Amino acid sequence: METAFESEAVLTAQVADFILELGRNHPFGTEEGLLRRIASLCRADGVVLWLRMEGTTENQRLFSAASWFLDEKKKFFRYLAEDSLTYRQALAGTPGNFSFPYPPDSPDASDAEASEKIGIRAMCSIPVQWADSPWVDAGTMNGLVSFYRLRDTPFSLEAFQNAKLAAGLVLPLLSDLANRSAFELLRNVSKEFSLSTVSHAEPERFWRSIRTRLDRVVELVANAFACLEVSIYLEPPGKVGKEVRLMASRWPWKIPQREVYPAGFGLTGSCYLYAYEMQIFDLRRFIPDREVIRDRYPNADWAESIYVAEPIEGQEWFEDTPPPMSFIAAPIRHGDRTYGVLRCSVLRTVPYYFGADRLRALTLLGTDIGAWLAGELRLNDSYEERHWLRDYVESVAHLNVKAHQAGSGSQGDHSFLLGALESIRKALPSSLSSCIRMAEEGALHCRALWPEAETSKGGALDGVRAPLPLRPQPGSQLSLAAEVYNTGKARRENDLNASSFPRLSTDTNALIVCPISSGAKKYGTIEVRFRVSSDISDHAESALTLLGSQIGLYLFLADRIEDLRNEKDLRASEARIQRETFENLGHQLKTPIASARGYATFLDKKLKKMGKLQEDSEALVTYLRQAAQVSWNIKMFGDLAAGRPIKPERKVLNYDTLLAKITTAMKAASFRRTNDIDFIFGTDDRDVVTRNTILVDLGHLDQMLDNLLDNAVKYAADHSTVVVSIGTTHEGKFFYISVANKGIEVTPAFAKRLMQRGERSHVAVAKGGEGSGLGLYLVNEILGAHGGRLEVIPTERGVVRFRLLIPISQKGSVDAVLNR
Amino acid sequence: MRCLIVDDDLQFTKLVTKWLLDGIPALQDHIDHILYEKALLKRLAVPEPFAYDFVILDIMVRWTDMNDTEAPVAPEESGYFRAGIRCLAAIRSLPNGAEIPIFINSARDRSDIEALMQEARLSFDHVRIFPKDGDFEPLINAVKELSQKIAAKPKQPEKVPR
Repeated sequence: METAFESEAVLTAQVADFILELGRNHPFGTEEGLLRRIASLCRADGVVLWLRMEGTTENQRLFSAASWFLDEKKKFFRYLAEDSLTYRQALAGTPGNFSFPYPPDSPDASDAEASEKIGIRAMCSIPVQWADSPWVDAGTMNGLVSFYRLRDTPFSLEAFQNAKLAAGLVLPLLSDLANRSAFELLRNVSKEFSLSTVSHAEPERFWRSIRTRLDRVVELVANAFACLEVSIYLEPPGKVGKEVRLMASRWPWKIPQREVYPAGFGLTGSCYLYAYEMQIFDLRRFIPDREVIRDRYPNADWAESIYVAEPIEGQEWFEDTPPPMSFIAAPIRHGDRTYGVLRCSVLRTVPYYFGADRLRALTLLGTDIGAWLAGELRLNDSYEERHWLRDYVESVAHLNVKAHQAGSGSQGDHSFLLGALESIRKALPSSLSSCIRMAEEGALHCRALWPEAETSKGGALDGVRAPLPLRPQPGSQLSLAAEVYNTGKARRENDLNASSFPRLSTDTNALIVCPISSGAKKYGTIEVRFRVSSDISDHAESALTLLGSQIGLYLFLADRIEDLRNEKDLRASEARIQRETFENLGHQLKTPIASARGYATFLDKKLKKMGKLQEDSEALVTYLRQAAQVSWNIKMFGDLAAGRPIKPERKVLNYDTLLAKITTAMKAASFRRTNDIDFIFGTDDRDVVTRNTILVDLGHLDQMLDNLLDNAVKYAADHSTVVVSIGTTHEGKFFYISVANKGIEVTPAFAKRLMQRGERSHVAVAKGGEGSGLGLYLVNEILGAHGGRLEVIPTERGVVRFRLLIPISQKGSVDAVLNR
Repeated sequence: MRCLIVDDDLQFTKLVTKWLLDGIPALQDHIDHILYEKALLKRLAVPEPFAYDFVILDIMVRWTDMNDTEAPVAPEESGYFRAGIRCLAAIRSLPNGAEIPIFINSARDRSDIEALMQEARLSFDHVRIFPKDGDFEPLINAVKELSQKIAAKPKQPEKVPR
């Protein structure tokens, strides 16, 4: 006995070594080989493993590799070990609630006495206890590992401990062996996914197809892992927090199974983290509530090795889902995008039931499903992101219309411009974030850059405009439309260089660059970086391009606002000038009309008295002429503003006509300031008109002369002279009528702007002189319709010279024009 | 009775003068013209009593003559078309200017003129507004009325030296 005990005590160390060996690799190719090895270590002649699966009432002999021994050795057994379970005790029931019915296919069950004939002399049975759970009868013995000896040698205490230790190993070791086949199976599942395509023409069919395939995954995983519950929680892209789908599970119990969980239930962001970090539920790290077990099984020392799993503190289980005693979970993901969680659960408390291989296999499967989903969803034309894009485009178009109206300046409505700017400003941050969301899969970084962001002009875009770590290089990416760069492969040397993207990390394998622009004006760029080049979709490019246009529009409007606020720059204050223009025009109309009325009334009185008539009637005619001129100007201005071009009716100009018109215009102008302005008309070449063919609308010529001479008189210095002359210029291509006067100084820079609508000399404004700023503008427009132009030539000492340039016609073209 | 016309439109001033002389021949040689704000301010700066019995005033009058390089006030601060209001304020600020009748003859709307006067905190007393619409009868009648009042006013006895 002592020898036997000693030898078996020595075996303890061998068993421990065996455990370590099994932990490193699996030297046994089959369960049978493993059981033989265990039996050998325990000096047993045979080992039988009986199990009862969770949730069932049927006992199954899962691993009966050693039963061959029983069949061959027909010997009786004896119950010798006092501290080990005898066979009869096992039949009677183990301590506590152990109830082990006859194994259905056991020779012991079918013929208990026959087993005595086998020659079994001693038996050591180790119960395998699963966890307490509300769904399995508490304390139910779920399995039994029996060691048999055909020798007449009892199992010693050491032998029993060895057997117990070995029994604790049997299940996980066999499980690990099973993992190998499971791993292969899951790889086949992955291949199936990678080779498959699904129809995505219709959303419902698309999702049905996905469901079908994921149901197949659940079935395969459940079989491979011998799991009772396999579930997939899927959160569709673009539906964050909206819907979580429980694709399938294999609960055998009557637990309400929901097809669709409401928002906020179950899978949340923290659950992602939970699944990601808690990939294996290590029961040994948690509470071994041995006190409870001792109370229930007072005579069972094996209770020391039982662990009760409890959830980690602070992490709640789903409210109607039983807590699994052991589970593994792997995220379904692709790149940085997590679509859901794949989870396998059992109710056993067996330590390390899920081995590392299973975890790796599940992780691989989750990755493959994620990649498959990413590809399918991106290709799915019916997916909601398309609708989102459509809405986005419509909103941008609406803003564009508003901004175009505001920016046109035709009405000069300051408040409307500010309103449009404000609406764009409000829409920008959400647009950018939406854009990032839309470029959903794996976007690493997104930001908008423009040089002006560092100045005061971009001040309202907090949160969007960041300090610029890089500036767009002129002529580089600014000139590009939205393009995709695979930075790891085909970086364009001409458009991008390393200095352009100093922060381009190795994580970035692709990026989208699109310009921030408004019309031809380029302000900056938007760039979105991706880890995986395949993550870039057409939608993301389109949305970013739109966003670039939107930001560009904002900057354009900001520029205009800045100009309008700058009162020192007369060019900018379009609204004010237009208001003054019409106000002044009204004044100009009222005064001559009122004067005409006054003179007419006065003449009427004089006629009655037969007094002086000549001078007064002449004044009346002059004022009426002024009124007509102003009304002509207003009418032409209205036509031009409405987009109606000037259509001159050309006639051949002769010298007498020209002289008469100049004289009349001079007389009318002189009437405005009779006291101190002299007029001179002179030319060195009187035949210039008769020698050349000049085609001009005679009414327009009156209008132009009136405007120019009226301007000259208004702004001429007191006691100065207005000089009118004619001639040819520009190598004889143009006939000119020149009007020069000394008065308000015109700088060369301002001379170019005088012909714009609403421009007046600031000195003229300060002195309160009349004028709408329309005269020169209209003269230039009339000349333009004739194929000529107005020249403003500032000369020294405050003398400014205006020249009407009218093209000299060729003989053939003259006939063509006149015959038209 | 003496009259001052403040208007930058020379021909219009002539027309007003014709109407005044036609209606009140006694004004012959008693009508003066001032063409712009700066000239009026220069006239008022002379340390002599303001010798006019009434003023015909334009609102959108020029600020200065074309040979001058500076406006009397910055246009950004005081507005572009209210030199006549400033002329009125200058007259009212005279020691004897508070009761001088002012006949405003302007192309601007009456409401605009009243708003400008309120903004400048000018009283409407002794102020009458006539639209510059070519109908001079109301203005001439007002001047005649004023003339009769002045004529009816008892003359202060001359101090006889003892």
